[in-house]
Amino acid sequence: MTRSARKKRSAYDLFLWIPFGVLITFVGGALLWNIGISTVRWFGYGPIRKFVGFGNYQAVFADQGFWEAFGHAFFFVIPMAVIPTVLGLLLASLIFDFLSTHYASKIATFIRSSLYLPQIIPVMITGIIWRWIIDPEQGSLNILLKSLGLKALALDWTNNPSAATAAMSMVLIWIQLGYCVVIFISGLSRINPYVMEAAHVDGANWFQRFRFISSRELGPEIAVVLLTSVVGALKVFAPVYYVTGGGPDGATNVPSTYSFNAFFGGNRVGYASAVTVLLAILITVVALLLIRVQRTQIRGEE
Amino acid sequence: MKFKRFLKRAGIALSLLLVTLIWLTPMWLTLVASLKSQEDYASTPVWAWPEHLNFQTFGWIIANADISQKIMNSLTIAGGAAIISVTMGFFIAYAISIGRLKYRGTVIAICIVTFALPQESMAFPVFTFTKMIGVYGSMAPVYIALGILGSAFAAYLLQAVMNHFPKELVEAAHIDGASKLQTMFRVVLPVMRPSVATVFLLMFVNAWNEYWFPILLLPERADQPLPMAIAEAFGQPSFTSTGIDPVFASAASILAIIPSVFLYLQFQKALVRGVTLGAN
Repeated sequence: MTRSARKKRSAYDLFLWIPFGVLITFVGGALLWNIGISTVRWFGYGPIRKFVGFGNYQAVFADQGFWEAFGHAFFFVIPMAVIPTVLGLLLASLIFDFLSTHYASKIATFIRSSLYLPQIIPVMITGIIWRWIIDPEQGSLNILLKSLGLKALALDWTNNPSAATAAMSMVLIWIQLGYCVVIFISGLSRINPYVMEAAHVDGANWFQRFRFISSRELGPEIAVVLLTSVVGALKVFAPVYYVTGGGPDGATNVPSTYSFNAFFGGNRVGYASAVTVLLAILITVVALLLIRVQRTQIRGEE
Repeated sequence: MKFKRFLKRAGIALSLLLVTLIWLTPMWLTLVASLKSQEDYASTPVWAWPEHLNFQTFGWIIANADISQKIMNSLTIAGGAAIISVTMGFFIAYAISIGRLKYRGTVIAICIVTFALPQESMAFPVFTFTKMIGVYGSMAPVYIALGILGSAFAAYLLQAVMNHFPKELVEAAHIDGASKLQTMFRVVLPVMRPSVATVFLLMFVNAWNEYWFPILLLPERADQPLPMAIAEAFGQPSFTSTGIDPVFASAASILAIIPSVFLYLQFQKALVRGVTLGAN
């Protein structure tokens, strides 16, 4: 390598390593420090009480609340990733196939923007809105249900554990659907229209075209949506914190609200950190797995 | 035949509109509740438009919650974070995409893992650190932390676009004797400006809606960003457990949503492009 070529390299290296060095120092430092905190007993202020090694992890694993919280996070993958992806695919194809003609495109824009609205709203505000809507006494959901004669459906959304889970799932679907729809519509516009046209001429009906062309061609988009929303479900915090607060009695607790409560509610900082370390490990594994699946899929197509 | 097709089309349009209607219902309920007086809310159907528009709840909140200060806080945090993210992200993306560094794949993988990681696995140390060096409670640590973390996503998005950058332009600039830095600012940045703007906007909106670091690092209401201050004042579990006030909660929500909706309507195309950037 000539001297000038090396010099050229080093300029790029500098561009990379100054900002990227800051990034990995921040992330790596914080992660390591967090692991450190997870090995001590500490109230979050004053001197560190005691080094306990894996003691906090043992306490975490022995705690039923922790396992329940992780169970809930896995359950929330359904309303936050699976349902919005399936529903989003269907809606996006319907919007794209039936409303993309010029006279209907205004309706299409309106529908897309409306479905996307929950993505714009700060999630804490989403929390407040839903919290008062599902309030069993004064909330408009129950008032609405009662006036429609569906009194049996007017559940105690805040105190009944399964009703609270249902309400939380409802909120998560409401938030996520628009994201899926927008990504899938943009993906659909990438599919060669002649392929669709040919299938149409060959007599494939809408559902067949959806099943064999759209949903297959959308592979990369589906992968991205699943990656982001599965990870999003596992680390979900704000919607749960602001809608149910993890209640009633821990019925909707997820790892992040669980550790948050241990940190601030119980001043069990080491314990809370141990929970976040475990969550971080889980999410890293899931993210790497999904990236790998996506890579092999793309390679397989090529 | 044509009529039948029209009918089918109309049926699909109607069912799509029905879904849309369901999706808008929470917002509608919030809007009408925010415009009612307490008596109106108690006596009229929840979905009905108020008989007498009542703006007093808004007035009370604006007068007492110092909304303009909160908007300034939000602008500071979101703006600061977006500037840091995009600047760092641009340099990283430039190095790995235009410079074709060999550890490109590793850098991208680290970026993806970084933005997948839960912030809570880094937030407690940041909390402790800011207390140690005595900056706890000010806004700078919030936007610096958000900015650095966001740079992973910004770099990921920008490198995806920069991969398609015509190499001939870069080579031509080098042959003409331009340095790497000159090429970046005179050749690549001008072409990339729309994408940079889109990513900036996306980072801005993300930071605007951020909650972990603000909740952890900003205990004083005066320093909190708008959505969080509103949520803390009107939607906290402690507030609602003592009796929820639908009129106040919804009026506060509407006030907190207005800037976000304004941003969205103003930059809808660019934002949607940014959201789909990572997927294509």
